Amino acid sequence: MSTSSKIYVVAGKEIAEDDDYITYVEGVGPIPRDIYKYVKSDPFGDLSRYSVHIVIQHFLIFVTFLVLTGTGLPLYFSELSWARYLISLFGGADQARLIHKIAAFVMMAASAYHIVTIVGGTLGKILKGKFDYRRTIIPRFKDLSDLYHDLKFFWGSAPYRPKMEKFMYKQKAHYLAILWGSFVLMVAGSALLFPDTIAAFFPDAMSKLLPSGVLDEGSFPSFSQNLARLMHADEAVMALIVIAFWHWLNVHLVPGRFPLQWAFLTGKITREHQIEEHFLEYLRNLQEIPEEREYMRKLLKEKGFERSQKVTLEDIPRIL
Amino acid sequence: MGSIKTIKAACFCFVLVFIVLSVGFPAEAADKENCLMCHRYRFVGRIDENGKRHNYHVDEKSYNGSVHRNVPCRDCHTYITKIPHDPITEEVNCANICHIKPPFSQEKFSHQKIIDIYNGSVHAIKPEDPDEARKAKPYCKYCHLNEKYTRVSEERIAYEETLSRCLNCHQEKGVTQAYMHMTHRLRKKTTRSPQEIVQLCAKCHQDIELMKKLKVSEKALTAVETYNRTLHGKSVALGSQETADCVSCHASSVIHDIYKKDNPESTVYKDNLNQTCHHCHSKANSWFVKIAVHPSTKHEENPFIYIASIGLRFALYGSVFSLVGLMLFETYGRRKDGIKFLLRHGTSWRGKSKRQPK
Amino acid sequence: MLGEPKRQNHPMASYFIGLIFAALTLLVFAGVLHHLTLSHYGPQLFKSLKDKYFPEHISPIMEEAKRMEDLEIHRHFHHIVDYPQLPETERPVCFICHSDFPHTKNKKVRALLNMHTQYFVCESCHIKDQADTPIVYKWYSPYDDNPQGPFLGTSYDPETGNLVEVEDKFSKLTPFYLKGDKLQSAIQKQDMPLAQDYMKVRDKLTPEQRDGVKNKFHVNIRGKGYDCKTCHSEKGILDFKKLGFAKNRIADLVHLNVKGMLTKYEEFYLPDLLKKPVKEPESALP
Repeated sequence: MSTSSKIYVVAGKEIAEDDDYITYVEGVGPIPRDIYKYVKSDPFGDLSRYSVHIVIQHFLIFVTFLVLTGTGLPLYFSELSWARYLISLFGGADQARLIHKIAAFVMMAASAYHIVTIVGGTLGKILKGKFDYRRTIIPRFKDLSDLYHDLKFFWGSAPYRPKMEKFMYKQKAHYLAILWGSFVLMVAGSALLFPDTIAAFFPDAMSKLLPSGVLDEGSFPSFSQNLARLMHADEAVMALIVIAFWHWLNVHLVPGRFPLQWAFLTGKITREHQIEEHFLEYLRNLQEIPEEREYMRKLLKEKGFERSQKVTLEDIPRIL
Repeated sequence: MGSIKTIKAACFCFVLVFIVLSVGFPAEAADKENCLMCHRYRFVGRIDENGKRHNYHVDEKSYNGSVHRNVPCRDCHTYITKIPHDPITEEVNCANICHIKPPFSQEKFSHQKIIDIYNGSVHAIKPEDPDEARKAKPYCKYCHLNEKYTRVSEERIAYEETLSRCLNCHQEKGVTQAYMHMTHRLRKKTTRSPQEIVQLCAKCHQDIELMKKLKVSEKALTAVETYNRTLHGKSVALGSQETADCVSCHASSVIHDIYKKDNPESTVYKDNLNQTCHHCHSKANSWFVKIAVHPSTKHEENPFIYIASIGLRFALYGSVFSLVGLMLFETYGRRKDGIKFLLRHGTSWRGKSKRQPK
Repeated sequence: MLGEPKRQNHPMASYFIGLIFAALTLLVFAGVLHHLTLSHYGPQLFKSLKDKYFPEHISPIMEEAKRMEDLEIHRHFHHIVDYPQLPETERPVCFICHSDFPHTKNKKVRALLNMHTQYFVCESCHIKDQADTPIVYKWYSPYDDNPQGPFLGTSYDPETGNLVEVEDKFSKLTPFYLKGDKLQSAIQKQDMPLAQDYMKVRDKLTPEQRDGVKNKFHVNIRGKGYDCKTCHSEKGILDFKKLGFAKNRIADLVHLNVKGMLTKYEEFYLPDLLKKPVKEPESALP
């Protein structure tokens, strides 16, 4: 975000001086913080959020995740009655094992694709001088204060939600968790899939150096394999539970999001949602998209918020 | 012209052998003495003094589809010398030489070769065995019922593996030739599925009381349980046909050569492990064979794994409860701010905020 | 209107896809509940409840009986072929005391006698003759008053030489009293709960009491059944032809002594049978 901009200007109003109720945007007008309750939104999304690459990656990961859990869970819970039915959906245990491996490779390919997209996109932005770490998923201290602010809002002691960037604290935490989880799953999964290759990393001679008593149960390959068995299964169950009880509910089914957010297919976010949870990103959109400025200006006029406000320069760092 | 004649003759022989092998002899040949006159009935049987049911029924159809379909009754039941016969007290001896000549052989058939191998194995009854062990140890008929042929699809037949099984009993020369010529036509098998093998072995080996009486090693006591916890065991439990079962590791292609771990002939002897694992895991090395195939379930033997599992449990409950809690709290807060959940029209900011601006 | 707070324009697809997510979530929720409450992988929170309301009765006798039966099925070299059984409520009560293999005493013939239970009800052989009322044999099925057959064991399959497989697996040859023009079943009408009760209290009764009860149960029943020749001969009491047996089958049944079988039995075994007449019909279930 270029700091030279003079469009984001704040002027406190008596009703919510501390909470920056009114954000004055030059050429648009004074935007009240709760304007998201009054904006028009297309369910399919109004404002661009994800590139087509991200949408493809999400779709690949999403499908392979379902396939992987479908083929993996019955193996972990092989003694339970439903395991047989679930595995027969994939054509039996041997077929399911093959499908599991294929899906795992597709997921790893999608992850690699994601890394290439992210690294390439970041490099491009740095070269163009447009890189701004605040718009990225990199955690910063503001996320903690946003969380605190949000908790206060939910409790009722703060009047408005915090002004957040393109990625808010929840999304950052989730992304980092997935990063860690898929790393563990991939490494442990490879150890299970290629036990011989993994063990072959250790030179033959090394095993002969150790006394045989140590090698029997507590040997390193045995330990690493046991750890891989544990980690792969436990991480997978954790991933499924978090995806089911948190990701799907939070993104699609909670009030305000129900019945569906189309962002994972269209790459676009609704105006209402962006203003509510990613207000600073919306301000950037106002800066970049003249039509959006025009829409907001007219809306403010219709709602009677066109009165211009005073500008104080000290307020600039506070809002960004 | 002579060569054509030879080819014709060879073709004829081939077809003949094929027909004989694939169709088999009719059952009448096996029941020349009309034993089925009585034994064909379903309820020929009794309950003995120990309360055990004995059913003497022999199902013609099932016998005709079995591996012994060509063997006449009295080749095995040699102690029967008259009809009607006296109550039977003897057991069938599988080492009997029967009146069947295997293909490409002049010798009469017998299971002696396998029985010799079995007699050297851990399951054989030794002279010093106490009574309990004698009773518990499986003899031929414990594991081997009269196996029925089942058809398999062609691609399931692995040439070398199958041939190695044939050679357990048949002479190498003739059978190898026959097998090489006709293997693509043999679609019948009697081998057991991994599930059947595991069930069979587990029948005794998961009976911990029995195993304690037989004084097996500490690890062997829990062998079934620990196997079931591994990927091998779980895959087999789910119906996999390709996963290693008990016999895959504990015996060679001779199947009956099961020895204790410290016997140098055993496939699981520490120097032979490499080769044994190599059957499936082509890159097996001396590190690989140290991976526990029967990983211990005891915490004190794997303290790191135990701690790791507790850590993961905390991570799971911690993340799920905090995230779901946050979601519920957020929904509570946003509902107070005026969001409404309506099934038919989706959800939006319909309500009036209950908040009082300061 | 630029402001549109009451958004209602969700396309149908939104609900459809959203429903999938909801269903998946519910599925996982059900799985987690199962894991927490009942599954032996989890903490089994409902275990005490389950034990309380669905207690598993462990009976050592039942387990031993089951083990014995399993042993035979598992270790039987000649595979045991499943044969449909009448449900217990439809069967004559005899089996409660005598089991399905009622003959146990005479070592030489018990298995052969038991074989006949597939074709006969107990009364077919063990009925007391009554001077004034003649006995007529007919096929009888608990599901059908007048079964038409074909019946099991009445004919051979010309191709294989085996007995022809039939659909009617429950019909048995049964004696009827001919009273005037009417046929009256000779099957003992007995009270099943009474028989079950007797098995429970049998050990508490004195021998005299036991005999009393047994005599009451076995009206018109005699301990020793008919001899082989009563039926297996040219002038046997069974009219095979009328009962629907094929010609070659009749020949085999009548001339069981093709191989001197029947004569041998008579010579060697039956005298022994006559020496020790079976006094107690209650012989199974030692």
